[in-house]
Amino acid sequence: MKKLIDNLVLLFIFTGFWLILNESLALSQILVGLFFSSVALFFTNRYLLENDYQSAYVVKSEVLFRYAIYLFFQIYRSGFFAILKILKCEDTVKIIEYETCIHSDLGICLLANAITLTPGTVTLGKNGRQLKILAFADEKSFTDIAEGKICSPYEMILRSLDR
Amino acid sequence: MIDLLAYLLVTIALIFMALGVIGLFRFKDFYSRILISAKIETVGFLTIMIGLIILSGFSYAAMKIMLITLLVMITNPLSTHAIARSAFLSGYTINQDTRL
Repeated sequence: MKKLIDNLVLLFIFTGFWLILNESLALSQILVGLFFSSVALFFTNRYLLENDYQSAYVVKSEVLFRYAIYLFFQIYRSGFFAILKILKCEDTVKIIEYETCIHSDLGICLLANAITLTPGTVTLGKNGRQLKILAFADEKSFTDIAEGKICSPYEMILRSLDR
Repeated sequence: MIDLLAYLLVTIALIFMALGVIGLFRFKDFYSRILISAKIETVGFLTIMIGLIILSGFSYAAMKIMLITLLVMITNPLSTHAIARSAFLSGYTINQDTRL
């Protein structure tokens, strides 16, 4: 039952995308959208993923919302710090080995994505729970393994993806 | 008034991008340059898109811009990550002058 509800939610989201792209709310477009959404969902579940869509990409909407809001403010905050660095010409960088508190693969990928989206940090590599991060010298959010372990605010949000 | 806010945001985005380009020229090292180019991509792009959404008002065009923004925000880090990772794996080292 839960799987059916999850599939229906995805169908509605995909159909919404279809309607926006076609700029129409006509019944024919809704039906065509539902058809193509079902085909896309079936194809993805059947041929592209090892597990089905729900088990691979299950993210609570509340977590996604908090993640997006935090990321949005973090992008601008880091953006302004990056401008100061350009003006002062402070280009010292370091590579950090960082072990994340998150265990789920999707959570780690979202964290790596957020790190690269935040100006001043880029994820260089992922090996299990260990991330290699390129950062400006005074980066404080992600501390090296050698300096002790503190969960970053991103991880506090994404930890709820661990099941 | 709303249009003015939109134009202001687009102008701010262009300033962000211009500063990013200046950073690319001022920084000497590949790794510090890629950190700055990621800033141009993210902050500049996001701000310009917010400006365009406000300018479009509540319309299909605005929703399309939101979709594009969402897709780019998901895929944008991949290119930066791929370039930085390939450089790192190729043995490209941090310039001694800019190493911490």
